[in-house]
Amino acid sequence: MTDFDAQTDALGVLLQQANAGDAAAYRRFLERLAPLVRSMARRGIGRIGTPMADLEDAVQETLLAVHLKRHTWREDQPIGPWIGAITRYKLIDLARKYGRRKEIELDDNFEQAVPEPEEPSLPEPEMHRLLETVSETQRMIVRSISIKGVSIREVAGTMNMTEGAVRVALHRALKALAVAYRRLET
Amino acid sequence: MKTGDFINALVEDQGAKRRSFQFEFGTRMAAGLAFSLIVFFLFLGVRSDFLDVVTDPHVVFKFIFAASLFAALLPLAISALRPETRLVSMLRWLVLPLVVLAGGIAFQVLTSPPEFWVSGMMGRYPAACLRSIQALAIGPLAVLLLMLRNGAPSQPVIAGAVAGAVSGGLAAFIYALHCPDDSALFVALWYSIAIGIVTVTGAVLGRVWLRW
Repeated sequence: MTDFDAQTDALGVLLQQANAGDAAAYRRFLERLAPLVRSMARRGIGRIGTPMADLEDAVQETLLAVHLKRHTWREDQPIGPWIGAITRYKLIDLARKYGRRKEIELDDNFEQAVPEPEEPSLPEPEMHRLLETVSETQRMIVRSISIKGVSIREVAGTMNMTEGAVRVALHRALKALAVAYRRLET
Repeated sequence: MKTGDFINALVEDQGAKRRSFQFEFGTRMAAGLAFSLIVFFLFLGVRSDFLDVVTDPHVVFKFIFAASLFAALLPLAISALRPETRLVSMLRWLVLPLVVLAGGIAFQVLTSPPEFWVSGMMGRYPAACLRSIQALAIGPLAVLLLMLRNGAPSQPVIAGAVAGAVSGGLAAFIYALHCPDDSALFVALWYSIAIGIVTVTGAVLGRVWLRW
């Protein structure tokens, strides 16, 4: 078994556990996935020839798409091609923003993906600008949960909302962010 | 926002449970089909001589052609839900309805004298054929596009076109219960145009509606 197989198998196991309701496994899944997506996205953006400043945006948009479409992964199928296809689709989206509509040849798998950590010095990704497009309540919820790292229950307490309402608002906000990113023109 | 922070939001949103695809697809497709059947029985109805002609090879051909298109492309529409599916390479399944169609044309040409070819091809009700197949395709097309929207088709235009062709095939099958024009040449021309229009509609809708 190669490193590549081991990496994807581990991700598949984690996502299966996550689908069964294990939040800690889901966190590990995303934390392991991000550095691999970053590596694929760097190569992809290099091939498209657009600014590398978009790298972290591409990573976040891909993670968001993986999150919103995770029900389309079939647990009996290898997860590598599935993640590769989502990353590729998001990179084609990115290329389109620069008016490059040509079909881009991008790898659909992890074979050359060497995990790459986030660079702390990069400019803020677009996500904070995108957050301006959602409602104020949704923005506050997303910000508290992500940046401050508080839980849905805590947000519900401080914002005087029910947990269910926060849950719904968070989910709508994430879907709205994906739509806003697609519409974003550079 | 840092990616590490963003992951917090995704993890907190993880609880949302989704119903199984199979379940959603089954019930929705049944609803789309029911819509078509209601339209059919309200506005068209089964042809009055249906029982007399049901064994006529010309009539049987219409059903086989429509069913072959539906059966060949429905698996593609379902596969298109998953992003890793390469639809283009699966389009070879189109050979099945095309072979059926070619067989029907050959049968018609060999069994009827040339002076009937053009009149058979133009039929009596070409406009009704176009209108009806399009109307009957609306329900199934809406259902398939909704399903695909919930999925992750990485080729939205082709996925939309496939959904259109599948819906067109289903609509043609239902319309064949009513259709009084029995020449295979009529089917080759007008059914194909009607299904083609639904296919293009699906592609256009897919372009705007199936991106994610």
